[in-house]
Amino acid sequence: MKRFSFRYESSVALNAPVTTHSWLLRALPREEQFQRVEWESLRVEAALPGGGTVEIPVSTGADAFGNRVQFGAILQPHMGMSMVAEGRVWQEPYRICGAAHGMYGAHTALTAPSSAMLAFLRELKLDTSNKAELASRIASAVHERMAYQPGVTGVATTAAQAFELGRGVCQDYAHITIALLREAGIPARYVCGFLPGEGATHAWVEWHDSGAWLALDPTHGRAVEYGCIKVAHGRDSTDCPVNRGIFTGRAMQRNSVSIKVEEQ
Amino acid sequence: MYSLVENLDAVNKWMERYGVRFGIYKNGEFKEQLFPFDPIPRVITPEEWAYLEKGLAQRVKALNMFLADIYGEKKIVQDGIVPEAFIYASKGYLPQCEGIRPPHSVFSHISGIDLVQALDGQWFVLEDNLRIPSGASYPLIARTVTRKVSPETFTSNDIEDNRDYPALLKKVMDSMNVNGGLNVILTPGRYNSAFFEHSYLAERTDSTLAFPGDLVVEDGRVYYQNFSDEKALVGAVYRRVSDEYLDPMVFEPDSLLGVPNIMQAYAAGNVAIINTPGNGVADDKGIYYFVPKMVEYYLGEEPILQNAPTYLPYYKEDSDYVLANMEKLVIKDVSEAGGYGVVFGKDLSPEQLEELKKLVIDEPRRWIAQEVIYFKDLETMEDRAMVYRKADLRAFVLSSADDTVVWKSGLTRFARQPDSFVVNSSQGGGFKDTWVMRENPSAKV
Repeated sequence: MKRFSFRYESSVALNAPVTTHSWLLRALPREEQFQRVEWESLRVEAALPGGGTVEIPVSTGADAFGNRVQFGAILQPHMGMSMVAEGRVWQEPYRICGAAHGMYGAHTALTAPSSAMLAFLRELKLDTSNKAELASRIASAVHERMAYQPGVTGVATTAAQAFELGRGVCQDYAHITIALLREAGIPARYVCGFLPGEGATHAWVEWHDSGAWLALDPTHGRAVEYGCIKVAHGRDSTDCPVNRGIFTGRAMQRNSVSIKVEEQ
Repeated sequence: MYSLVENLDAVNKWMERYGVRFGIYKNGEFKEQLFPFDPIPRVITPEEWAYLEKGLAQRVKALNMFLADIYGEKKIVQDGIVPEAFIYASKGYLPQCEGIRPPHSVFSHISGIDLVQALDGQWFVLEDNLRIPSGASYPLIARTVTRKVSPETFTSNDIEDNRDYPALLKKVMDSMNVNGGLNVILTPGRYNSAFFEHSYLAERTDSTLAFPGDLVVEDGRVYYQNFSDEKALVGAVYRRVSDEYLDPMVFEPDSLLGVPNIMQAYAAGNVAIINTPGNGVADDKGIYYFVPKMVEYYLGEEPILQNAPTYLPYYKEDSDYVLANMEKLVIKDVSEAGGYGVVFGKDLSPEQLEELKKLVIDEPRRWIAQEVIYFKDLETMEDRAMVYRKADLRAFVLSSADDTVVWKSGLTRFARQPDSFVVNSSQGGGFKDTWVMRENPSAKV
């Protein structure tokens, strides 16, 4: 067992006051068989037009995928919002026992494979009898095929578009891998979380076999190691964004995110 | 009834005054038009109605149990009655609703069941509409107007009064209301094709008509806030905004029509949503095939109402039949609604038939095929002359905490072209009042 501390810090700065600002976060770790939360805190603040900040109450709940959600609304005029989630988790080797829900076998708009992807899968000539081998070969083939490049894809980019482009970020790697796994008959889901060290949110893939979910990181072309803190999962990225918000008002926004994970 | 025909001008003037309109999109342009009204009603005998009423309530009970099962345990899939492929690949299945149990386990509070009557008098269900079906206000207003123009018609005939619809709807909202807060009707706004109905029903059910932006979720509850700073707690939302726009935090992120975080309030039991999101999984054209099986499975009863004979190319045997008989069948794309994506094999050229066959072979799950039902024509006035037109009937079934009630009326839509089978208002059809006749001739209105 290992212990890690995490800190997720995100802010929205606005150039004009806005009202009725609703937000939904998935910024605290999931409780999983391999991952236990020792302590945690979440603080949300609004920046007032005259300067100064006010703390905003946080409601908590769970979504239909079993992810923990934190949500609320800022109704008064404000110029920005900041969120700090932090805590410590204990981790064991990554493995989640349980059945696979049927939804993780079906394609979504973001993971529907193109004919080029199907051809790519056929060319891998995979041995379908060994699921572990199959899954890891698909993830490494995606890793080989794609080049990591931020800024060329966006949140709405589909697996098929990113595959065609041959470039993208962790979200694209994960969608393509999920598409191919499902096509090969393996239930797969999208995972959102934090990586050891400093950076932004990361995405990886869980795949199911013999009553357990295991993880692969196609972006790095390897298994998911200790210190990758799982926050949420879903069929694809749209099911489990870390942060979504919507406000009323005319303002330009500047967002920033920083994440830090360290072994304790 | 004949006094109604004579007074058509007066009826139409009233309709215009009430603003009985239906918006349609044609060539990408939004047009609001009067929904053409025909003064000759569809008349349903007490015996026929007794049969329909029983069958409709039974069907809707089974559909509600199916929805509870699909977003819960999924026994019907485990027991092999409905294949998994018809659930998770369906556009109407919303995984965001998994595990949510609405108040009193009612999912489809207002169900619109579309039926047609064949030449021999046999009724068939063509479609179930469990996603906020529209149209109840039209016969309701038509009745109000026709009673005004020709009161003697209704005193000399034993017609069931249909003006109880708002009371039935209010009962549904009250029984679902989780906290004694406001009942709200949420409209996408005045450019929605059914805006007229939203505002009319809000007024008649003593509900608050809310526009996008009027509802806000704070401390996990839904509040109505309008021009004042006062916020009022909301207990039930009859939303006329479709699922994908309902909550930008969970569904379509760019939606400005919805209520951010309403899904969290709903999942926590802090508000009722009428109808619940995710109902599309039960009124999918592919799932339709399985509805009679649901009645047997959940209720242990023989289905009273019949489906039109339907084939699922998903099953090999059905696929063979469809490919061999396509020219006499009607083919429907399961992903389309409102009369779009419906093709009659008899209208296709040999090349088009071959093309469609290929599509069916490539994507069998996407299509269903049905025998064409030659339905009974109804008398209709066209330019002062009596003509016969195809018509269907949308029956409204209201499910509250303790009962399932069929409204003693319905929306009868007719095709305006002599040879057309497509009656949808979005395709330019017209409507009639639906008279359900009373059993006891001594009971006058």
